[in-house]
Amino acid sequence: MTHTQTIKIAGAVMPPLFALTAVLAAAAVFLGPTVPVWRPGGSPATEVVRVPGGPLLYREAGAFTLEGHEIDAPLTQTHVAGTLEVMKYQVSAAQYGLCVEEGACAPADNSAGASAGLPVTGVSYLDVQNYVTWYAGVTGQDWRLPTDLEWAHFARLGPEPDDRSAPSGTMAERWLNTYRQSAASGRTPDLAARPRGHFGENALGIADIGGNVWEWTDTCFARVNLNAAGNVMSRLETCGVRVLEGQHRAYMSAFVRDAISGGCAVGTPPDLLGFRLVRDVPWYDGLLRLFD
Amino acid sequence: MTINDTIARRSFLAGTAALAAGVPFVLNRRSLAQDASPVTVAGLGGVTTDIDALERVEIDLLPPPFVHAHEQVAPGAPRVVAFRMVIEEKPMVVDDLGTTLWAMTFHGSMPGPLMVVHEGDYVELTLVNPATSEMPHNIDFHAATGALGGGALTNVYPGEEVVLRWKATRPGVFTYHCAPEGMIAWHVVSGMTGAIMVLPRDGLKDHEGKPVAYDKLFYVGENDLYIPRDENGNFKTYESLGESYADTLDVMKGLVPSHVVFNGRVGALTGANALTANVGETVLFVHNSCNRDTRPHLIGGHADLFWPGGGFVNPPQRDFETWFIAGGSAAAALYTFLQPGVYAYVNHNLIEAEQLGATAHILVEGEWNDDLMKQVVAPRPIQ
Ligand SMILES: [Cu+2]
Repeated sequence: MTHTQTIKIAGAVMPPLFALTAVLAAAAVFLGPTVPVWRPGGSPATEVVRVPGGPLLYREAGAFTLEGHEIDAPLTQTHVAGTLEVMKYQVSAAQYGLCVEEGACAPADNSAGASAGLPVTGVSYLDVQNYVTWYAGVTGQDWRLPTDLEWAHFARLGPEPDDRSAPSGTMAERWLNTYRQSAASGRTPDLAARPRGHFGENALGIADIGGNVWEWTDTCFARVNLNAAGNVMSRLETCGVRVLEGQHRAYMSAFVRDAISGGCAVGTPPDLLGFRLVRDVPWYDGLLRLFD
Repeated sequence: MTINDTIARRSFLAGTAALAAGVPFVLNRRSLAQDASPVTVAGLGGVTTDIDALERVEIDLLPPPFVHAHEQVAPGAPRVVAFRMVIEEKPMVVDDLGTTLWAMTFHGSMPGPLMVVHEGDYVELTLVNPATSEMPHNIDFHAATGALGGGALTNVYPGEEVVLRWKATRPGVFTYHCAPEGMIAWHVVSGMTGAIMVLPRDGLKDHEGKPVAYDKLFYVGENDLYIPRDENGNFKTYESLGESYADTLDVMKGLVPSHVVFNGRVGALTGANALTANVGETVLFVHNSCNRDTRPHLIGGHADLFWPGGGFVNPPQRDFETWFIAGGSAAAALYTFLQPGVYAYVNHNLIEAEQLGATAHILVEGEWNDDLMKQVVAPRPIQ
């Protein structure tokens, strides 16, 4: 089942202006991928990477069933319309600390042992929302968490593997298989945050994708029931649970700061919880820069 | 080992040495045989047994959750069942974070290996304390009668071994543990405990006295650990067993364990180490808990039969949701799996199960029975 859809970004419906997108992409290339922006409170430069929109093969986050049997979400050919500015690095302990100093953010869970050059970890989705509000205020720019789709677009990891595209076996067999796959991964927790950049950069120049700090996204957990034809029969979003992205996808309650103690029973929980922010580039922004 | 080394080690354990000095704990086989006769069992007249005339079998112990090969019904007359157990003091990782305990173990594992004999058999244990050890050790069998369960006759310093023989007169599941005077608790919470199962000669029986057998035996040892933390809250590691003693004692006296684990570490019986069974198989869960009370529960299943207190002479009781094992004992529960899937066998103090480690998983294969359970409507928006 493959179809194309137009994606909403930040609540504003973007027309599929492919021609304009191409112009913006060209502008981004012309300017180079990394653009320094304003430094709040004299903190280290916040480097950003411009990511033009484009097509991608995407597996939606959430729990999907086909006629009552659990399956992986169908792969869909989809599209991100607008250009994003994406923070090159995850938000650092120093950057987050400024928000704490100003009383707008709660201290991160592990702030005692955190050094400034490390990504901030031990932050919940709710903590991040406070940071977003504060950071948008000091920069005058609409920084926000990416959606899961946007994260998949700039992470360039490709869709998660398809383990269950169709219902197969009994409930107990699927349950046992899922358990064994998780056990066989043999991954052990890695709970020491590394200096930013430690895990390298992806093709776009975005650092530390798929390291040991999982990133909060703005996407709510969804339960989607499909019928045999693949049509959505019901869809229920639970926004108290948000999608985290990293080496693998995870779902966490918005108040959880430590996945080890807050995680669900099945599967390996994320090691550490952090975030990076994105911003929509206004359609005229690239043109203005060309004439700068 | 130099003499100076030996003196230093012994003075460190002055309390233990006092007990050892007061008891003649080095006995040869002949003197043991003389001490053992006549053997008097309550309700019977005096019975004298010529030990040397009995058949003798030597058993190789296996680490948990396994048990050495054994017959559920005794094959013939009582025997001398000989075990050799080597004590190991060593650092052991107890969770996925790499937290390390300076462990003291019987035969290298937490819990010590499960021993199985039949009522009327003679247990002959050779207890070996290698010269590389820092501590003297001994063993107290709750199944044995006299001399502190054998503890007074089995004190062995590093580089020594001892042989103890005792008669298994009471069928049931019993704990054993190290018991050096003044340091019993420390040795136990460092890992020195395990279980012995004394089967009735004609095997286990149900509540009506009919024979029951098990297809598999899962041996679970529950240990409460008290690992000290540094000023930042991180678990400490120590260069040696002796160095860990004072800090550990402080944590122990607070009675708040840092870990409560099955078989020596968080995850010892989950993930790739999960136990396996099939629908229709009958499993005997042997559970040892030397120090603290525990309350095993099989999530999604039951105990069909449970022998409270661990004694097999008493008829088992039926249909437990959760069963109680007093600290300082072992007990057995019997269950036949009826549904496939993933089961969790936990200490149903769920804080200990979920946060501190007391969880095992059992992967059960077989046909699902819709009559017992069925999801009639998958989750959907409220209609
Ligand atoms: Cu000992």
